[in-house]
Amino acid sequence: MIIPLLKGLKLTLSKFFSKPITIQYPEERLDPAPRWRGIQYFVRDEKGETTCVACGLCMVVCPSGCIYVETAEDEQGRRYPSVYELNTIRCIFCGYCEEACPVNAIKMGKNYELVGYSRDEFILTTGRLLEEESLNT
Amino acid sequence: MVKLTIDGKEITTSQEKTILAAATENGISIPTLCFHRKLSTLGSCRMCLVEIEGAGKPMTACTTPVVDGIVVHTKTERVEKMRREALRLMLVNHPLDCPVCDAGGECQLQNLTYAYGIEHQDFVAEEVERETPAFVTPLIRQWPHRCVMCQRCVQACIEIPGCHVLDVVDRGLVSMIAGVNPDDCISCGECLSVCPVGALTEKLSPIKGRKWQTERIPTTCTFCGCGCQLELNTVGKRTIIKVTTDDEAGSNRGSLCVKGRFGYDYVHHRDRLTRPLIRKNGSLVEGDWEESLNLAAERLGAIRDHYGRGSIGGIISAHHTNEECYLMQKFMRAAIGNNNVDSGSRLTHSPTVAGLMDATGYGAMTNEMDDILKSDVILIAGADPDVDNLIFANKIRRAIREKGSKIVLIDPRKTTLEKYADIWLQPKPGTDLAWINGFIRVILSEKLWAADYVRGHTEGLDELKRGVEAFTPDYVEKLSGIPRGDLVEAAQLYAKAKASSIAYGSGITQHINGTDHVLGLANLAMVCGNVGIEGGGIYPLVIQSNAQGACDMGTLPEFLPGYQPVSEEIPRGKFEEEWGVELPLDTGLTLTEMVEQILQGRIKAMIMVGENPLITLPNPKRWEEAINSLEFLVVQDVFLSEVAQHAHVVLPGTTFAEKEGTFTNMERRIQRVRRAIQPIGDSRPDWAIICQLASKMGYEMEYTHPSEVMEEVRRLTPLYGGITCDRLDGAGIQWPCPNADHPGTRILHEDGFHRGKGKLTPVEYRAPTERTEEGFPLALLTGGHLYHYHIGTFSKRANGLSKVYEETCVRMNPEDARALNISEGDMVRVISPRGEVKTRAKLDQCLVKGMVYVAPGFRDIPLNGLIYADFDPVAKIPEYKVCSARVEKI
Repeated sequence: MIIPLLKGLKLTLSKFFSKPITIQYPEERLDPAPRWRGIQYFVRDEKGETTCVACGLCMVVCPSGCIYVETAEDEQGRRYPSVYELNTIRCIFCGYCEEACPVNAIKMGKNYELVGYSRDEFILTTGRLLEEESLNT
Repeated sequence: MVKLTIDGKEITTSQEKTILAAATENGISIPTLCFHRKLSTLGSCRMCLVEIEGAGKPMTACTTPVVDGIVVHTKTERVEKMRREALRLMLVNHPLDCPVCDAGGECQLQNLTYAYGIEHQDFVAEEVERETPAFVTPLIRQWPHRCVMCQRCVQACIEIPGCHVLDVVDRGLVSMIAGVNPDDCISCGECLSVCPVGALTEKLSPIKGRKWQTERIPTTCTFCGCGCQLELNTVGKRTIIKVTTDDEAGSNRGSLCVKGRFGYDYVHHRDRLTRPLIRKNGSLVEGDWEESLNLAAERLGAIRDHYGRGSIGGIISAHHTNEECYLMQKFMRAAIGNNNVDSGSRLTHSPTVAGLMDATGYGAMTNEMDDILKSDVILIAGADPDVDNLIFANKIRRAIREKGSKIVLIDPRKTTLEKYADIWLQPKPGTDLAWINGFIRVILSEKLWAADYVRGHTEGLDELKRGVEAFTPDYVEKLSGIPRGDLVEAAQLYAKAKASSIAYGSGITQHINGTDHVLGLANLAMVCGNVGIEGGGIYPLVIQSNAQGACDMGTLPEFLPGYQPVSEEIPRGKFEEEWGVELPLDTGLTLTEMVEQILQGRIKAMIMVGENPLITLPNPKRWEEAINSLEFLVVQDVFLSEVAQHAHVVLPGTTFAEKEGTFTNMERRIQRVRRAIQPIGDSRPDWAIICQLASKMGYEMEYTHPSEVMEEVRRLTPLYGGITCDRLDGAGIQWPCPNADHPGTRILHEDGFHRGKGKLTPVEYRAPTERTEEGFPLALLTGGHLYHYHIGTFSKRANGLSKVYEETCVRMNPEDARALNISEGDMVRVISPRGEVKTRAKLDQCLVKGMVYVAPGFRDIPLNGLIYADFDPVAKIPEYKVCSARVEKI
């Protein structure tokens, strides 16, 4: 009867003196897995702007309908998103948007810290998506 | 009938069909790219190749007619391979920029590429370097690299508006579509609408949207009486980003004019009124709805109680919906208690209503527009449909092309239709009754009249005979300047044809004897037996979108809705019961009569919904004086118009894109207007404003939706007796439609005239009141302009139209100009005995000597200050067309 108890204590003691495996988040962080799909970001072009051409493919492919795009055209006929809204509360991080994007403008990032004090903070606009890029480089 | 087999299915069809048509009818789909149902076949893309047993090589299904007994296979390995190769060849030069192409998602090439599973193609072609000249219209952007050379745009340009602006230039690799006659372009956008890929895209809205990003709301165009069906493409129920069409919808079948296709963005103009305005200490300041409605109701109520029920007048414009017109007249009759209600159609359409009603019983277009395709001879008098009603002009062209219809054009100006005219008569302005009576005399004296028809269906022939006796060709020549030979020839052409139709426009109606002109034309049509038959008829062309509907809805001082006279006991009793009030008996005042009554102090307050008499009516100084002397003026409009600046309360209404309702177009077709976007700012639909004002004045008008108003109209108006909102989805219904099972009436008077017998009324010729005289040697004509609608309240604020709209100008004959030492582009003064305006001169070969023509930009050149201030005794329409003037260089 005492033997199993000792066996158990042995394990306890061995763990007690070994290096802990708990990560002290947020002081310590783990690198996500290579194929981890976190919060999306926009790739910057040489001018620091988005390369998105607002084709609307991400909008139509998104299974949870969390992307809203309004397309605008400048005088030269170049297109850009006049409105780009990605609702991360609704997003299921499936990565279809990245896959559909014909110009590789949107990517699934590594950031998983999805926190905020209001619902609005979870809606990523073009500016927020460009800011997200810095967390991924 | 022939029998053939397609893909193992036995098909019986008529022999003029092509294999493609036969297959499509029977649900067998054959891929196409260059084929378009509206256009004649091109056979350029090789996508519709099919195999016919016994024929050596595959045939194009779109061009091959069916033959009895043939066996067709549409999906053999051989033709599928050929189609795939054809597609690959098209993709050699087609850039793969689908993500940034407007057509993405709706592109036929994209769809076919996907359907045929083409993932790559191995052909390589050298890069073609070519310069792209600017496209013929600034409203369309051309992407030559995307072009697949199907030539649909070329075909559409030739066949639909009859312009031949586009064609293929150069040969081989560098060939491209370009403007060959760029000056002829009327920016109708037909090329844009038929382009199967994204080689032509709309260049107006900076906001774009894919099919899945936008909503398409089918509605009715507001820019003329044709009532074209179009789809407003909106983003987020906020912004209209383009106009598209459904090829099956409406009588326009997918065609539009520049105004309909590119004139939509006035809706978003920054001048839109978004809050009610109230006059405080002499200036208009923003107020809220409650305050302004209370003020309006209180003041109107006080004036009504103090000065009597007749002291208030109401006007509504002719581009408001039927429901709003109905509510307006109900408001005036039930809440105010008088018949002083009139609409903007007084200024264009009233002679038609008065004249045709008197002659036949119904004051409207007798046949439907498509019926003109069956006419053998089309007489076009005083109308320039290419400018005012392009869709109708397109139908005339189709009639010429398909049926070989002959055209008799009667216009002092050489309009664009002149090149199709077999005979062009050029009367002096204001002398129309001379040739009308002259025609009838020729027809009667040469025994070309329809004797049986006239004896059986009409009355008054003897009086008419006496009335026209004096109008010998010589006499007509003396009065109108039409050579006698031409007159006789034209009259014979009109009378000898099996079915002839008459189309007339503002050149007939906008005269002090406009009603007589209409009666005269009705005489002419009836004498030849052309009323109530297919291919015949009288087509009054209407400029304002709901001029017909405004009259139908009873915004007329003498008629309740459905032309039921206010003076008659029976209809009035029905309305009194439904509305719960006693109705006034005496006829009210027309728009043109109100000014005198205001100045004499009989009218103390006015309600103007969307009308602007300071710009539309002659003698604007007098109107301004009248308006300033009003004790209270309520204006309901979408922009702060000239008259609104004098108002005490301005209520912001909405445009057609922001409200529900119906329009009745010029062929009597009642069609839906649907809400595409939310009202801009704090504006409200006009029907709701009228209801709220009435309720505040103590007369409850409770409707939650315009369909409830239409339901009330249906109960009270036999003409609209079968009109319910759900029946209107789709093609619309033409009145008279007495009950819910009635399909509507395509052709009026088919079973005898509505009034019993057609009335032939001898009409007396009156020489134009104003002759060109000493000091004013030129005849000033006013008329429409392609890029302009009415007085420009909307069209001047549409970015698209202002891109192509040339500056307002006076057009004159080069010889006259030379005599006055005026050259193209000079600033000139146009002076009439009543006033003057400054504008630019433009030389125009199409005008005869002694004539100047001003296309109204009414708002920037107040032309109404020049014209003659008298009006028709019956219809009370002002004389817009005859005015003497001189031009001076500044």
